[in-house]
Parts: sequence; C-alpha cells; structure tokens
Amino acid sequence: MVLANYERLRPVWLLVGIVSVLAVAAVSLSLGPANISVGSIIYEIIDRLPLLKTNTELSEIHSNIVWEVRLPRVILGGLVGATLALSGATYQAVFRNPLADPYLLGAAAGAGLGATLGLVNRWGDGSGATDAVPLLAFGGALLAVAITYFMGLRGDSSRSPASLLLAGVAVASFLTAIQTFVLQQNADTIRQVYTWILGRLNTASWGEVWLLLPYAIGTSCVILLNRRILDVMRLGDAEAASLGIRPDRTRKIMVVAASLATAAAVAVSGLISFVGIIVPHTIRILFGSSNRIVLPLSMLFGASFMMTVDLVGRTVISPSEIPIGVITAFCGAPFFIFVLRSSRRSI
Amino acid sequence: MALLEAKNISVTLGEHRALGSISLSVQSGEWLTIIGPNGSGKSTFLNALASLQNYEGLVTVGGKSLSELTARNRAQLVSYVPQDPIVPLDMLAGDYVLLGRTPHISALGVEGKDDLNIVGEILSRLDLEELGSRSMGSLSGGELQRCQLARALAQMTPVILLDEPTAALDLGHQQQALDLLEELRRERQLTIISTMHDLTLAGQYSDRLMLFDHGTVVADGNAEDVIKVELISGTYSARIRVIEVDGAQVVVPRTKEPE
Repeated sequence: MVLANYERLRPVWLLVGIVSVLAVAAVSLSLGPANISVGSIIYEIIDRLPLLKTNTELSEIHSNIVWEVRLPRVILGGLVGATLALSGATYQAVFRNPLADPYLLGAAAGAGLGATLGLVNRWGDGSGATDAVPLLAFGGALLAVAITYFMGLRGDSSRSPASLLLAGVAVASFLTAIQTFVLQQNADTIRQVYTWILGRLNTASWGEVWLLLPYAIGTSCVILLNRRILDVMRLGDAEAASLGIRPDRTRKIMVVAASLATAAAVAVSGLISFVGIIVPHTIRILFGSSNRIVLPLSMLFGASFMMTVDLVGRTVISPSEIPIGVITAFCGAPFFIFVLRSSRRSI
Repeated sequence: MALLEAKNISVTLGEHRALGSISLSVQSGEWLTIIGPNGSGKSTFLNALASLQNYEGLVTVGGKSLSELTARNRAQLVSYVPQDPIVPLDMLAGDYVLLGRTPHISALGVEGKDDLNIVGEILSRLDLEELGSRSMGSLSGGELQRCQLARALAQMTPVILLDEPTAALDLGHQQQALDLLEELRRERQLTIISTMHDLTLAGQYSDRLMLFDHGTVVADGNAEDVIKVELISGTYSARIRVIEVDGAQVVVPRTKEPE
C-alpha cells in the first residue's frame, strides 16, 4: 500500500498563479493616463524579444511609456510583492508563529531610521537606484536584524526562538524612538519621510529592478530549496533534531535569506506592510499548510497582489496616487477577514 | 555483542546533577524500560541517548559513537518519540508520518516512491489509513499518539526511544500499541528503550527494567527482580502491594490505613 493522502503543490495551482501574474501585468501595462491597448503592448514586447519581429503599432512616445515607465514599475511591484510574501512565509515557518512578518526582527525600524537620516540630512531625495536613501534603508534594515540576532542569542544558552522575537521587539522600539526624535528635530522633512515610510512604486525605474532582482532570485532559490526542511521545522526544534535536521543552523540560514530579501525590497519600495502576513495565510487557508505549497504560491500571488494594489493606487484618483501601503491594508484587511471567516481550515 | 552501549553518562542541568554516571548495554531486539518517580532522570537519560541533551560520557550504537556522527546519520540509527511532542494542527496525518522519512531523504530533495510505500505500510499496520487525510488537529489523543509512534517507526532505525508511549491511550489502545511494538521487535530485531509510569505494563512487555532514583540506577533486572515491594515503595514513597497473577507482577496501590 502506498501513502496516497498528502499535501503537494498541484501543477494547476502553479499555472493559476502564473496566469494571474501575467494577466494583472497586461492590464497594468495598458491602463494609465495614456491609453494603450493590451494587444499592441503584447506585439511591442514580442518585437523587442531577440529573433522575433512584428509590426508594432506603437508610437515612439507610447513605446517609451511602456518601456521606461510602466514595465519597470509592474516588474518592480511584482518582485517586491513576491519577495515580501516569501519572506513573511519563511519567518512564519522558522518561528512557528502565525503573526511573524518580514519586519519582525527590526528590518522596518532599521530601514525607517536609515531612510530618515538620509532624507533629513539631504543626502538623497529617495528616488533612483543610486540615491543614498535606498542604500541607507538597506543598510539600516540589515544592521537592525543583525543586532537583534546577536542580542537574542547572547546570554540565552537554550537559544529559544522566542528570545529572538523579543529581542526584535526591543531593537525595533529602540530604533523607532531614535527615528521619531530625528524626525521631530527636522519637522520640515516630515512629509517626505512619511511618503517614504508608506511605501511607493511611483519612482520605479530599471535601476531599481536590477538592484532588487539578484537578491530576489538568490534568496528565493535558497528558501525554496529548503521547503521540505521547513516542514520538518514545524515539529519543533527537538523533534527536527531527532530527524537529523539542525534547527539552529536552518533558522540562521533562513533568517539571513529572508532578511536580505526584505532589506532589498524595502530599499526600493519603502515600508509596504501587510503583504507578508495576508498572502501566505490566504494560501494556507485556500490551498494547504505545507511549505511546499505555501512558499512557491506566496511568491506568485504576492506578485499579482502587489501589482493589483499598485494598479488601484495609481488609477482610482488619477492623476494623483494613493500610497501603496495604505491600499495593501485597506483592500487586504477586509479580504483577509473574509477568507478567514469563510474558511473551514484552522490556522 | 551489545547493540547500544552507554558508558558513564552524566548530565548536569545548571547546578543540578540530573544524571550521575549511568552505564548500560542493550542487546539487539531487547526491550528495556526505565521506571522511577517523577524527576528521577528517566526523560533526561532518553534525551541524552537521543543526543538532544548535552552529556558527558559515550553512547555507541553498533560500535559507532553517536557524538561523532552527523545529525542525519544519528537519525538513521536512533528514533525518538518525546512525551509531549509539538503537533502542527493543520498538518495532514499522512504528511506528519511521512516526515519520519527525513533522515533517508537527501537534504534538499523530496520523498520517493519507496518512502511513500514504507509510510503506507506502517499506517495500515497501525490501523491509521483512514486518518491519513485528516488534519492533526482533528485527531483524538489516542490517534495522535499512534501517529507519533508511526512517524518514529517510519524512520526505520534499529533503536527506538519512547518517552511514555502509552500515557494518552485507553486500556485497549495501550495494548494495541505495545503489542505492535512487540511484533516489530520480533520481526525487525527492533531495540526499544522506553520509560513508563504503569509498572504492571512495564513489567509485562519489557525484557528488562531499570529503576532510576535521583539520577542513579537503583535496580536492574527482569520484572521479578525489580518490581518488589521494598524497592518500589522506597523509591516512589508509595504504599503498594505486589501480587503475582499468571506469572506477571501486578502493582496494587494500598489505601492509607486509619491510625
């Protein structure tokens, strides 16, 4: 007799995820102040692929809008969504805590402080990939997680994951206190800092895509390869160890990978909250709780979710934009509560 | 030759010496049960054998020192069911048991057909086939405990360590689980080291009992040698009688006599 009942990623789910990403991307590319049809965008993209030629009907201006404005923004949104959702799912797995999100170990507070210092000292204005602000945010996020990690492990020989979480809370409030103080002393930049903190994709360019892409690819490979090990970790450290896994080492590798990915995402898009929690949990409720399902689908649906949110943010009160962090919570929270209430599965 | 050998195992927890220099050797296919009052060091000793607890001394299985093996190679020799396992409530029972195959699956790979076969067979042996597609959170205490046993058996190790394997089971399921262990012991020469609070069951199923008290071995032998009124009532501070029924030592608590 062969075991028949187990949870696995079904190819059709992957397909649905990929189709959702492509569909939202197509709609996002065509909608905006300049009206460009989906069909002509598809021709335009095929035309730019090597070895293929079509009769692209786009004018030079429209072609520039697609290539220099909308496409980098759509791709960046997808990458940020995929990265934050995957990092959230990873933190939830290694800490066995459903409330864990990518900012758990202080990444948000560290990035916020780095960006605030950059903006109030006018080292940069927060736009462009070579600007000082994203680099400071990236450094701040990584530094905060590193401080949390060493504080959480020192003096606690049992190295319990809970002490790490508590250290994260302490480091985050400490850094937020400094950030608030700096901001209060420089009231003229409050608006700029606030805009950065709420998250945005409106300054997206190819430079930011290239900045995030290597981190997104590298860390997601590391995390996805460990998907089965992360299921073993759900049994707790003692049992994982008796099954031949080294839980401390696995947790360290996963935290480093997820934090690098989060820091890179935060650097290019600001603090976009909520994605790291609602996307993985929605996947768990709809498809299954195994990390072999949750991790890959979180990436795909995280990407399409973020692209949808950005589309809504830039079109509903066009020509002005709603900050993306506002919409993730405004649309995401009711949807998540609906999924939570209508599901028969427990979290 | 002994399959598992422990030499001078000592464990210190903080300032407290939880185990003081315990040595034993267990033959292949032997069932050893450690008994003793709460806090006597039974679980600490099993944790040390499972390499989940730092210890001084040497544990070898088949001549190989466990502390010199990788975690994965150790997990191919020794499986372990803790007293209070963490149960992921939304995991399917089938997936839970399948995790027992972890030490036989390459680090970044996934299970193969053999693994599914082995798990399917163990589930049917424990009458758990029906439960495979249910979530762990929906199982009864007894079903959970059988799933935990199934997971350890799926590990296919020569040595299995069981901390209170029947604590959550009713009388019938206790016997079913212990009978199954007894069968597997005969079939695969499985070596079992368990702890148990029920002294009568411990005596009936094990070849050998070891009585622990304050981290040391007070008695070691078969049920007749160890389940004696003087030994048991002393170490457990309990009023008992031991009655022999059909060759088995039955421990009967006595009520307090009026003064």
